[in-house]
Amino acid sequence: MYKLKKTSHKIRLFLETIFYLAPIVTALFWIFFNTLSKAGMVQMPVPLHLIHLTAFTTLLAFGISLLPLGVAMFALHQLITVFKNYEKGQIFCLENAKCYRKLGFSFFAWVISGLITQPLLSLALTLANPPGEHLRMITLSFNGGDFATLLVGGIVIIISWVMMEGHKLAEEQAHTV
Amino acid sequence: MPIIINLDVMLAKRKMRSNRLAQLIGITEQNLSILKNGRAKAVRLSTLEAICKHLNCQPGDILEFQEE
Repeated sequence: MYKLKKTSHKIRLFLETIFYLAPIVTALFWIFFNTLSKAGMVQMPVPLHLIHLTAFTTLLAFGISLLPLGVAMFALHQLITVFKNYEKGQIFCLENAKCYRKLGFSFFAWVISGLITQPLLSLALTLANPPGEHLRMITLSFNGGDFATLLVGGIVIIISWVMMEGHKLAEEQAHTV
Repeated sequence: MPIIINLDVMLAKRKMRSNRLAQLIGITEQNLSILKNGRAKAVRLSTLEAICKHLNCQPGDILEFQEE
């Protein structure tokens, strides 16, 4: 149990760091978008040469990217809660089972947020195109990676059912004299 | 719950305290309290055996069935 508690503590700290860094990194990404795109470090649903970012469209793109960011932060929060409970030695508690279920649904939400964000982002990024280049594009894609994400989400939900059964067994064990 | 635990009655009859019994049968006071307060979902036969041995009684003196 000591090994589990110690490892859970390290993982929780790591997850909390990502949790707090995620919005900051997202903001910095949009602030330095032009620099990053010139360095070839950016992949967008729209070809980079068609993107003309203004302050407004940058803010709009950042606002749109808050949707998948919110989903990711929600999922991270569930994991942080789980590992916090593991640190206390609470493995099969009801809270953990509920967190796993929410985590599973987060995977579904991630795919849905991608389907919403992609067209909105492609529209926002080409919104400020100068006259003569009013190429307002909307892109939408669903690929194998999204399917895999849905599959993983389903598996995590099934794992939450197992954890729920584990909780019932642990409860019974705790009340067995 | 239909099964009533009459441990308090037996402890009083034998003039023994809960913590002493818990010590003798090798369980924590907390676990014995779970049993006394009717919150136990199961009792091991080994625990029942130890209780009967140290309180010098029969299982029927500790456990009683009452229709709900």
